[in-house]
Amino acid sequence: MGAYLSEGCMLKRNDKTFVIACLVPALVVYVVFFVFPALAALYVSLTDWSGFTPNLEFIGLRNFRELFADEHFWKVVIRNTLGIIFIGGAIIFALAFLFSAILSSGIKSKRLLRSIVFFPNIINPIGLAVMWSFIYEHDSGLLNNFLRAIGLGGLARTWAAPDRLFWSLLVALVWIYVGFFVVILMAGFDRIPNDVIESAKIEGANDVRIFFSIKVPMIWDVLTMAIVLWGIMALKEFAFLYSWGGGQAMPPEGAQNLAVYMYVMAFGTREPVYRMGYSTAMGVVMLIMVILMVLIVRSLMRRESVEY
Amino acid sequence: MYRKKQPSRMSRGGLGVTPETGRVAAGDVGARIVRIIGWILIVGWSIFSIFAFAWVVMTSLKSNHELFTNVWSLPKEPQWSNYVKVWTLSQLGTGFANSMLLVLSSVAVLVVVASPAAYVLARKPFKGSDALTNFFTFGMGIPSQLLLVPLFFLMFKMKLVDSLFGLAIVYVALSLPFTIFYLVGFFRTLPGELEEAAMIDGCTSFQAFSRIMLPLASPGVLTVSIFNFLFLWNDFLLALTFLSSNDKFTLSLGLFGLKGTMQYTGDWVGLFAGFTLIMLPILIVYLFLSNQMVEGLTAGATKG
Repeated sequence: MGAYLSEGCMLKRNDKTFVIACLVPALVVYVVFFVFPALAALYVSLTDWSGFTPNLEFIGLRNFRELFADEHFWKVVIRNTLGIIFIGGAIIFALAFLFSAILSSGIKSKRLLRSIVFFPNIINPIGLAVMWSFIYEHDSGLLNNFLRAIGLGGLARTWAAPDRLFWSLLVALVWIYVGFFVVILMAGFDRIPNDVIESAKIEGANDVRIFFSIKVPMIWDVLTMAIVLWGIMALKEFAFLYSWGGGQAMPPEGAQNLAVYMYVMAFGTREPVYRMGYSTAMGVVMLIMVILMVLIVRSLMRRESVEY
Repeated sequence: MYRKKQPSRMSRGGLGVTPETGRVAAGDVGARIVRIIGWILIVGWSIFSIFAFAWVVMTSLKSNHELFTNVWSLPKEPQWSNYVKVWTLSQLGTGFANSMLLVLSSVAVLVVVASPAAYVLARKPFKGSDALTNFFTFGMGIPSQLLLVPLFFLMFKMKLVDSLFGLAIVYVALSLPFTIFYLVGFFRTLPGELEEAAMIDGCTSFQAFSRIMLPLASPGVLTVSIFNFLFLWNDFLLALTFLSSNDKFTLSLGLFGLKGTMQYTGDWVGLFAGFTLIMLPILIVYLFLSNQMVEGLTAGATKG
């Protein structure tokens, strides 16, 4: 054993090498394969580029101008994207509130039901698309067959018809994602201490009152985060929608959102488009939408946090 | 845990709080109706989900003729040939092996790269360590679509396109922000005394990390590994972008290809067999670890 002091110095030097050795691999991978391409994207979105040639022609904001002038972009792509975020989100949160409130109220089958409702979230989205495409199949599909079996054959429809496809897909997306938000809200509700609820009951508050005046305010932070998370998840939704087309050059209109459309513009297969700059401009639009959603949700949900 | 007047089955084993019986306000009736409707809805929802998955698995053992004769009937005799066909002819067997190799090695590398970094960021404060933590976690808000095109051409130049090794690098890079974010949070919750004691006893920083702190953090490492495994196992966008030859296809791509050819062959039962293959490993693990998986997948959300 050397003197205490010198040992201390040695440890410090060791520490510095150790810290650097720990950080460098992660930093290198992150900077090279994440940060650099993300920054490069901002430049690529300002160019006209087919990808496989070295010359990126700088065209300023022309990609964005073309995008915003494109009727298809607004009427189909943005409409579907916002439809999923807002309409899908409203239904998902309404159901998730209802389910999590019931499941958090101490029923026995809580964990079992939670696991079942959550299950679609861990299943491959292509598999889910396979399943739903048979549910919606016109002639022998499960939904139409079921309707006929219970004597409601008149309600049978071509669920994947162009004017109905978006809504049919939205139902499937709600079914997939509700479980995710049930789990998150339940985690919030389960955190609330019992005595708060008990004392409110003694004061004579009923269930509805307790739910809206006590429980919801107490999970406000969880709720804010869940809404932001849904916005990002909904915006990025790709696999379930893209695979609906089954590998067509362009999936049907009802299945086109921003993520699908930007992919097709860059890597679309049968009629290669290879519009790398144009596609990346949509990537930038997605980034801006994420930033806007975070800012808007934060300012709308801002309020004093409830301490407990 | 709040309890209303419920059937006695429910109030058994409570915390000794007896439900009040005297007061019945108007709101209570409404609350009870909402509760009953919600209860019916959630049970119906669960029955639908179980039925739908069970139906797909059951139908994957029928013949196409049987399926279209009666969609509800049980298979007369199990058609294992559906599985043999998709496993060999449609190359889902190769896809299965590729997915396993790709995802397991990505998760392993991810843990090796991320946990020391997260440990240092959480427990060895230095000038700029907070900024560096933010720098890593900032990536969580970046949609992967933003960097798809530049990343593709970066990989293309490095000759890492259409290679499982290249895709593994992409997986590790894109999973780093959440993994580091989660592990930094986890390392911060660990008590510091053991680490200090180890250092005083003459352990090097590396020993204190590898022998004491990493084992203590193993529940967090496990959770984040489960999260990443599921996420990457189900990845479609990145595999679709970065892989092109059939022999490198993952299960997602194999099933996607099968779905594409289905419109010419009409082979629904084969498609269902493919779906069952992709779902089964996850389902089996889920039966044993559902709570860990549920909490793992939503971990970042509630513990942030």
